[in-house]
Amino acid sequence: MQITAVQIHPDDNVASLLRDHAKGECPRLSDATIAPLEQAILMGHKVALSKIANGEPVVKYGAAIGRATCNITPGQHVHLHNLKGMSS
Amino acid sequence: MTFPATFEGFPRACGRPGIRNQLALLSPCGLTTPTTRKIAALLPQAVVISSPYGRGQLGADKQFHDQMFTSFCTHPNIGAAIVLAADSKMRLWLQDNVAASGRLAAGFSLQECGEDSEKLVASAVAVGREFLIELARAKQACCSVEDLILAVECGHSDATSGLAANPLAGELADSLIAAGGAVVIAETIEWLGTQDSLYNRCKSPQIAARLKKLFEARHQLALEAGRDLRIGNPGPQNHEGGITTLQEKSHGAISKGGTSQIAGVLAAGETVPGPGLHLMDTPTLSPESISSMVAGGAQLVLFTTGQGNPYGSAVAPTLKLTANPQTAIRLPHQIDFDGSDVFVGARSRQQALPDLSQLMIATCNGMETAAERLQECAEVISRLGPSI
Repeated sequence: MQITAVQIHPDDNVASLLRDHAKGECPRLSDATIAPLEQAILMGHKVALSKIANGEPVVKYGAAIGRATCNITPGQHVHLHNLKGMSS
Repeated sequence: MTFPATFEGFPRACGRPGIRNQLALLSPCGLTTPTTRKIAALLPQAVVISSPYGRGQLGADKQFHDQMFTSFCTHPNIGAAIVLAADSKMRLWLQDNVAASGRLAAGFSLQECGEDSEKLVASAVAVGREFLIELARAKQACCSVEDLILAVECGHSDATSGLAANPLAGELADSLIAAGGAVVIAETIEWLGTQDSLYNRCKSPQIAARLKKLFEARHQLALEAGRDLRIGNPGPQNHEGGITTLQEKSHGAISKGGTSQIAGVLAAGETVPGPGLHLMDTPTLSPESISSMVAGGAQLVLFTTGQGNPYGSAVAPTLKLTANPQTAIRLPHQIDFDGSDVFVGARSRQQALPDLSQLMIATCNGMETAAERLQECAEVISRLGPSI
C-alpha cells in the first residue's frame, strides 16, 4: 500500500504528509496508520502521532523543533497555530 | 541488508586510497590562470585547481590559501600533479609536497621559462601526456570502506529535501559510519537553531566547546554585517510548505549527516582525522563548502538538491540526489540518484538505501557521475581577508 506520510525518526511525535489529505483520511506510514485527520492538511505539513500536552516538545528529526502551545491530539494538524519555536 | 565493506580504489604510498587517479594542474596564483586554461584545453582529462589570487595575501587568509593547495595536491584522488607557478619558489613549494607523497610530480614557472607562457604550455603538456599514460597503467585494488570520507552537501533545497532527500542521505551517512567510515557536513549557518541538540550529540565536552566557539564566531560575522539570520527565518514560503520553526528548517538541512554522534568539529579545510561524523565550519556557498570538505580529505561528495544544481567538485566525484519527482524528470542528465519514490511514498528510505549504497560503491569503483560527464566541476578557495 502506498505510504502517504513519513515519520522521519522513531522518537518523533509528528509525521509529515507526502501528499495533500482530506478531512477524515488516515495517512499511512510505512508501518502504521495515523488517526483520522480532524481537518484537511496539505503536503509537507505535520500531523500529531501521539498526544502532545501544552508546553511539551514537538519532536521531528529526533529533535525538539518547538513546543506545543495547547494540548494536541493524534491526527491534529501541527503548525504555527499550536507550535512555537524555542529561542536560539 | 549488509553494507558493502570494500571498493576498488587506488591505494597511496601514504594516506587514504583514492577513488580516482587524476592528474591535477595546480595554479596557485592568478598570473598563471590563463596559461593553465590553455594547458587544460590540451589535457582534457586533467583536473584544474587554480586560484585567481596568491600574492599579497596576509595572515589567516594566506595560511588558508596555502593549506588548501597543499591539501589538494596530495588528495587521495590525485595520482600526479603539475605545478604551474609564477616563480620558482612557489613551484618548488608545491612540487616538493607532491613528490614527498610518492606521487608523480612536475612543475614549471613563468620565471624559469623567461616569462614565456607558450614555452610553459608546451613543456607542461608534454609532461602531462606522459603522466596520463602512467596513471592509466595503475591497477585498482581492494580497499576498505573504513578508508572512505564522504562529504554531504545540500543545495537549491525545497520541501522534498527536508522530508526525503536529506534523511535518505543521512541513512547512507549512518550506514557508512557504522561500517567504520567517515562523513563530513558543513555550512555552519545552516546549523542555526539546532545548536543545543548538536552540542548534546558531541562525543566529548571538548568537541562541544569547539563547535560552540566556531558556530558563534560565524554567527557573529553575520550579526556584525547587520544580518540576524534568525529574523524572518523560516519565511512565508517555508511556512506554506509546512515548515514552522527555525529548528525544524535547520534540522531538515542537517539530517543529511544522519544521526551519529559527532566525533569531531573542524575548521574549514582541516583534515578529517578519523571515522565518524564530523562538522566543518564553512561558508554556505556550495563551491566553497564542498572544496573545504574535499581539502579535508573527502574522496566522494553526495549532493542533495530539490530544484537541481549542476555543480560538482573537480577532485571528488559528486553524486546528485533529488527526491523531487519533477526535478528527476526535468534533469535526468544531472541527477545520479532519483529518490522521488521515497518522497511520493512508493518505498521507504530503508528500501531505497541499498540502491544508494550500491551507487556510492560503483562510483568509488570508477563509475562516472553526472557532474563528471557534464564537466561541471571546479574547486573554489574561500578568501578570509583583503590582500595588500
